Amino acid sequence: MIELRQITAGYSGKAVIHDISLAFERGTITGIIGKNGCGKTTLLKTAANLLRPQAGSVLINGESVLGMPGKKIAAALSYLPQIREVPNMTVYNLVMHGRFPYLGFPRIPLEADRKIAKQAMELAGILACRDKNIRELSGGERQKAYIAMLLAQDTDAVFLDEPTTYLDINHQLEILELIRQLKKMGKTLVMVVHDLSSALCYSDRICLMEKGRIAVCDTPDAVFKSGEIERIFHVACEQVPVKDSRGKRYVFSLDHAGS
Amino acid sequence: MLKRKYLLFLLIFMLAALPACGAQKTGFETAQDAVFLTFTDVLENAVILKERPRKVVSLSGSYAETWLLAGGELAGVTDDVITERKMELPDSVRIVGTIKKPDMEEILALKPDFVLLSPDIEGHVKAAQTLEKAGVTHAFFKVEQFEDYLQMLDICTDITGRKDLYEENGLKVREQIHAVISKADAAKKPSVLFMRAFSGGAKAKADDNMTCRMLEDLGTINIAAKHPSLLEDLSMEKIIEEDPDYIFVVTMGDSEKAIEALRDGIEKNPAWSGLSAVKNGRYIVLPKELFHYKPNARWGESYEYLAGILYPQNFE
Amino acid sequence: MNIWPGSYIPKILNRGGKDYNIAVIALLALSLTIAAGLSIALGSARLTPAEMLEALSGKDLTSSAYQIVRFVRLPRTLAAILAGCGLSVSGLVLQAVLNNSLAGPSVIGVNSGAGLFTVLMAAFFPGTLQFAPAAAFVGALTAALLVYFIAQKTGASRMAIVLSGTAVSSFIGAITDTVLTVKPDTAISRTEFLIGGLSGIVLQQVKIPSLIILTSIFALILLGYDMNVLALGDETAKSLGMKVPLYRFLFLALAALLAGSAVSFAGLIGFVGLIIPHAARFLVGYDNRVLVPVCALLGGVFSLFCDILSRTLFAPYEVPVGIIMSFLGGPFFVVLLLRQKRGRLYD
Repeated sequence: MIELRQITAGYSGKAVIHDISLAFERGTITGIIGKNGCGKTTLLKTAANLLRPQAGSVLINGESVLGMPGKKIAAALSYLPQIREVPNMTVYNLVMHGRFPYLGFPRIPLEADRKIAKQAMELAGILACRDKNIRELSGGERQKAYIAMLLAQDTDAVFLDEPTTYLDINHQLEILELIRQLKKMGKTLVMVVHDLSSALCYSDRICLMEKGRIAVCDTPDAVFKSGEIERIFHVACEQVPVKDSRGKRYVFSLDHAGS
Repeated sequence: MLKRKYLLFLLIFMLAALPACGAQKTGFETAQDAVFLTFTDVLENAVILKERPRKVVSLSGSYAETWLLAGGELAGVTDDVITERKMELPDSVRIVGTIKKPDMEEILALKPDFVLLSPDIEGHVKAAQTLEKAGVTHAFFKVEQFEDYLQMLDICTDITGRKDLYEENGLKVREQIHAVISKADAAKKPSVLFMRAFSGGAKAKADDNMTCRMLEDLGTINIAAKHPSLLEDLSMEKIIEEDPDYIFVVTMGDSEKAIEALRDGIEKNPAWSGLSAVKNGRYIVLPKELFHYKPNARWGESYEYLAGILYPQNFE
Repeated sequence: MNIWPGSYIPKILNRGGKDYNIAVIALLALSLTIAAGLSIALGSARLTPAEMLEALSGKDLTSSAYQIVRFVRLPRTLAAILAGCGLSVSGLVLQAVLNNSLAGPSVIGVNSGAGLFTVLMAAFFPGTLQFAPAAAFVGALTAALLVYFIAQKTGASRMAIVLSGTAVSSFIGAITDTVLTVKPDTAISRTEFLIGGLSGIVLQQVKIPSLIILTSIFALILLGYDMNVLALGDETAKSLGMKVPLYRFLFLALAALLAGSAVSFAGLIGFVGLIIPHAARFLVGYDNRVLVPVCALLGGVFSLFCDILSRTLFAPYEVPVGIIMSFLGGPFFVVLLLRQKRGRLYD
């Protein structure tokens, strides 16, 4: 369980997010949405311990991250950045890097590490591309390879920054399904998503941000009913019933009240 | 992993090779028996010659000439002997590299028993270390003024045993110099500017420079001694202010390029042609062999050359 | 910004190959031994094979053959290997850590620092030329520290380090030129040091630098994995639990030590640090665990080869080894670049 208490954070001394208190429970998917520049990525990075907060504290299972050894944090949280280097290596090598927090010195992976890596690749559906160079993969496959690396890192909490942006629609849905599977395994998932529809559809809880603060944080249904999305984004939102496991989708159109 | 083993092996091999290379056995013992000659060189090293050297190598053209003037023979020289001094040497003499980069292999292959070096050249300082290890006797000499040359000639003629040549190429030259100085007109006291030109520009010289000493001995006043700032920056203003009676130039490096640099530099200044030295034909380029390279036995000639320009009435 | 160059893994040859890598390393080690042998056998003085054997056995310590081998060729061979190893690995580490394939030791100010201190010594303390190597080493490290210190003020990102290095190098270069202008009689000229060379090398000069170089390379072989992690990007590396600023500093320090040591006895032999990593990547790909030993060996071989040429081409005159390296390395570099372009078509 990851908890943020009265977090203020930003860059170069300037605060981007203010006084945020939030908890991410096990076995849940939290979707963070908001307009560009509202502080979504800042919040994610602070929660994933990549950005030091200017005020407040981040706790992992009740323990503050300050003073926690780096390897312990790395075994508890993993993070998928939005913009990534595309290194020149095979999928297998990339995924094996996920075991880095557990390797002693010298860095020789053990049989157990290799097994975990294999399982991670299987889960992500990328085992077939094991020996392929990452640069040869499609965007979606590449994303799966990265997620496999995160899986190999075997953390309870996984933070993803825009995991589906720029992907083809089939890959987008595959990634989201994968995230759902991870939730079933009991992991804590927090994702920043640009596409409101996917966010509302797949999250257990939605965190809508505005100008560095949380506007509303509740179930997708509750957030929808609160009307905040419509206010902040200047759009009209409708719930549409769909005959599948989830039962409904959300559709957006331009708000006509102001025009 | 297999490849780590190979690596480790290679590393251990290399590390093990190092102490082996550190072994200092050279097989030379300092003899307690008769020694031919010892002296102290310019770096305060004690130079011990066990017998009269037969195979001598000089790493400087000037010292090669001095050694020959002392009646010695050369086994190896650096190429400035030909390119700069234009000396003619028998074919048996080997070229052992350049004055800046002497070739240690050639030198060692000659098995010399005496090597002459200069402490001002980095390549020589390094060469000395190798010569030390190989047990080759060597000595550092530094020649800037005539007395230095005389002293070096003294030591060299001690080694060759030709004190008659010390008389001829050393003491007689000193007499010649004294004669020239005494004939100079003490009353006149002309003012001079002495410059050293190279392809990148020109610099005024004073004091420790060999030619400046000659000029001083001949009773002139060096305006750069009065205005030390001229040594750093050749300021036209100061030169006009002083308006020296004579302006002397010597070139180093490529003479043509140096003269060209002068023409494109200071001579382009409109005030230059107004200087009395320039107007009256007293802006003179001095020959390198007498005023840039050490003239050695021709040192007296250098004095005469200058005196002939400064005091033409007293010298023919 | 994706700044990794295109794939150099020759698709035909590399089967993801552990065996391939081992074969390459073994081959290089063999080449190095052969090159070292050649370096000892060749020189401006002609030695017959019989004389060579006699010299190596060390029976007659006064023979000129022994002296030449022991005091001239052996130190030079070792120095060439060490300089090549040190500079190549230094270049590799810098390219990896700064994610900039045009980085070399000069980027972190090592070259200019060494140059300045050597010139200062020669200009203001003439007659102490035997301490020039120590001065070069101190200068190299001081400059590197300065570069890092400045970059650190703005977060020590890769870009900050490169910018800081460029600024510091230019500044130091200007100071060096000023000193040489004010004191034109300085025994060591800028150009001599700039070109670099191994003539007149004495074993004594190489002892301490060699320890530093070998230890550093050994450390980097062990840290190859960490270099790979760092190459994944700052954020990914951090989320994997790596202390990014600490490790970046550690790698830069090792790179500076390597380059500083090499420069202290070899002068500024340029280019090795720049092209050998590229050639190594062409051979074995991007895994730093393999690249460090490959770079070291390849650097040693190339350096030896160039040094042999430098002293045998126009004996007894020596062509500065830096010039030979540029002559050979330049076109080779162009070939590598062209192959990369072709590679892109199939990506």
